[in-house]
Amino acid sequence: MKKKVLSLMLAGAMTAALLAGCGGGDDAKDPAKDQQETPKEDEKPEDGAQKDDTQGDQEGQDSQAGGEIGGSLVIWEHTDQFTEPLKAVVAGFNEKYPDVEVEIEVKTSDQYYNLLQTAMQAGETPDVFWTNGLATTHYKSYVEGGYMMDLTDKVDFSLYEGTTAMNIVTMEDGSIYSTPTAETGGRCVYYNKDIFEELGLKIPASFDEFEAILAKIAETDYTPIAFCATDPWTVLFQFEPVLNGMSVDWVQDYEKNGTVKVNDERVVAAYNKMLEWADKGYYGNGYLGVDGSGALLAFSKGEAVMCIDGTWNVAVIDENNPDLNYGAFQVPTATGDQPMVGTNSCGYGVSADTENPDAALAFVNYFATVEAQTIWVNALSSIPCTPAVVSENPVANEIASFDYLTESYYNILGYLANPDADETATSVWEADQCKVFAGALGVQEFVDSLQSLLVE
Amino acid sequence: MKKKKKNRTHLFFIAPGFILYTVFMMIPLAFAFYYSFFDWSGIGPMKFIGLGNFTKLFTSPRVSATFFSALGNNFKYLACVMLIITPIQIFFAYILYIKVRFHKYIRFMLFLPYVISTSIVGFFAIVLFDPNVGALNEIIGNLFGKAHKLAWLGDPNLVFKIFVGVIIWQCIGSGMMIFYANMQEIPEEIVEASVIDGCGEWKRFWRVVLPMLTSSLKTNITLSVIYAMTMFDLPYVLVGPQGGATGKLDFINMVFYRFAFGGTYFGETSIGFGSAISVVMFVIIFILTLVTKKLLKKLDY
Repeated sequence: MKKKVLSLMLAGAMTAALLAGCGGGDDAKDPAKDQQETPKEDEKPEDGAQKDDTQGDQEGQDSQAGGEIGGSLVIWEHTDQFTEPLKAVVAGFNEKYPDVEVEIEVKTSDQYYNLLQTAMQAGETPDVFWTNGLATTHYKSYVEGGYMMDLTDKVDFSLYEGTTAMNIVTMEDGSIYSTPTAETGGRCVYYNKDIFEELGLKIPASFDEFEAILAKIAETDYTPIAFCATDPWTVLFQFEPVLNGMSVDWVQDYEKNGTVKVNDERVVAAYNKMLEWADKGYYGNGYLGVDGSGALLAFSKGEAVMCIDGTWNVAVIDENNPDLNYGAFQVPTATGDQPMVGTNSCGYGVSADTENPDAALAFVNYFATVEAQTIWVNALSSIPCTPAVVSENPVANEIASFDYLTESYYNILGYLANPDADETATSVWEADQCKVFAGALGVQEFVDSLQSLLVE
Repeated sequence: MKKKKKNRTHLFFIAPGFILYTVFMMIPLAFAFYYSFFDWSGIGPMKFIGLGNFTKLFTSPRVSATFFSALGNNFKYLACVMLIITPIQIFFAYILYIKVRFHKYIRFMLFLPYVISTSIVGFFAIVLFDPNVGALNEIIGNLFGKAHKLAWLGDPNLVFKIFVGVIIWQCIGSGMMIFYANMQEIPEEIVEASVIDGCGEWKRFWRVVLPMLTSSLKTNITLSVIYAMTMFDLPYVLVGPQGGATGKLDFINMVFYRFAFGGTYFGETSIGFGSAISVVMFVIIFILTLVTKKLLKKLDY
């Protein structure tokens, strides 16, 4: 009997030790984790509870509505790039709603959707969270799963009237579950003004002139264009302007008819042009070994004279090298037009199960105001999609001088998707895009595989 | 006659580990099998498709080509482990065993990289091999001019070699210490007897030391097989989740990752298909481990 009791005690001690080992993290507090942890229910301040001195006293009586709404709000963001703009918007929001305690959690890296879905399944969906709207299938599945609040009649979207901004968040039945942003996510050619002056170059007025500039730079020690072929998105952000420059009529065919062949000879010609540039050394010899940020760094450091990339990278380039004297233009067409491939940008949705719907709705409503979007666009140094929002960044304003907006090749792959196909063209595109530049897949074979997954 | 009461004390000791192992290993494994029969993004309704995910994995030209190319890379790496890395580990273990000059310093230097996390090792490699801002190209550019710079991680002919080189640098210490510990256990009488019998250094290694390393060889090879088939972290850090533009560093774990978790901005997640890949991976690793075990049995002295 004694032996049995002793055994039980030992086994119990072993279990306790095991469990203590597993749960040790709770005791050993990680300050970084503390920062990100959602406040527990009993720690949440009551509505209208006293906030810290700096915020509470400052704007406490500014707005009657603000005074009535309080509590805490957790916002999930997907990338560090949007952290500062979001913080700036939250600061503006807190001036109006001083009693709302907002906690921003940046779930960066490629785990964002995975973490969000886990939180949803665990019943711990953040009050407000970012999605990429209809650009991905996630938004639609969250809506269909009942995880997102219908904002159609709850948010004032009048700021976006007359723009295409709402396209990215409006479901087929017209309902809206997320706010867009006033940012146009475009593509442009960043160029080093000092090197252009040194080499006696001018902003090209036609596609031929653009190619002539590339050839002239290639004769020097500079790399004409910083490029990376390891990341499909960086490839896309160059391919689309090149396609526009060579055959803007291709995308115009789509805009006119609502359909187009993505394996059209004009598309193939644009890819082949980029491969030709690679062979001529216009990308340097390391483009298969760097990632997107590496390519941007090469431009920021002045090793490459140009870089064709997303317009949202102005802030990144400024951060890489604050002294860089650079500007931006669009890849011109043969006739001198400067079209810009532009996409709408998505903002934040609200959890259907939020415990603080008033504060969550107050936030998304504030996010849809001119004030908030001016803060957002300027913090990102990006291009506004509406004249109501004015950018203060000179490079952003240079980019904004394009002639007209055109649709994205990638978006067209999504719009023309065949719902009965085994795979989506966008996922095949993402998986195979880089293989074209690595020589593992022919251009025609690649675009044919995309076309086979679209509606005829 | 009174039946003798069985002593079941051991069950109390087994229970905690068994329960935790079941909860955290067996149940997720069972769920992975279950999910592999569904078309499911990880959220929303699950659609039962039977063996559809497995059929897609083996018959879809694009998916199967990606999967088998990645599997080929796993085996290629496994071959490197057997033919290059393990012999190097044994060589250095023997160097330490015969106590060459500065052997303590050599042991310290060889083992040091093993305590550095793989992410940091990957970062070191990028600092060295990045085509734009890497140290090697900086030196080559300064010495021989811009035209002589290499693509390094972007060069399909170099990337796997660089990867194996980095692994050798990082992991040589672990296997080496296992072999070294085993060598320490070789009875001195046997070694002395071989010396008296006129055995030279080379012959002693082949005829005496190596045959006595079977236990550590078995351990090392089994661990290497599992490690090779589950390779993920270093190639991910070096060239990203696609295995680089050329796919030369694409491994089956990364294929699983791409399908199961998708990308940040636009990627689509498919837990069902990802589970099917994980089930196939499980079967492959299981069979390989059994085969290895069977083959290694022949090494028994």
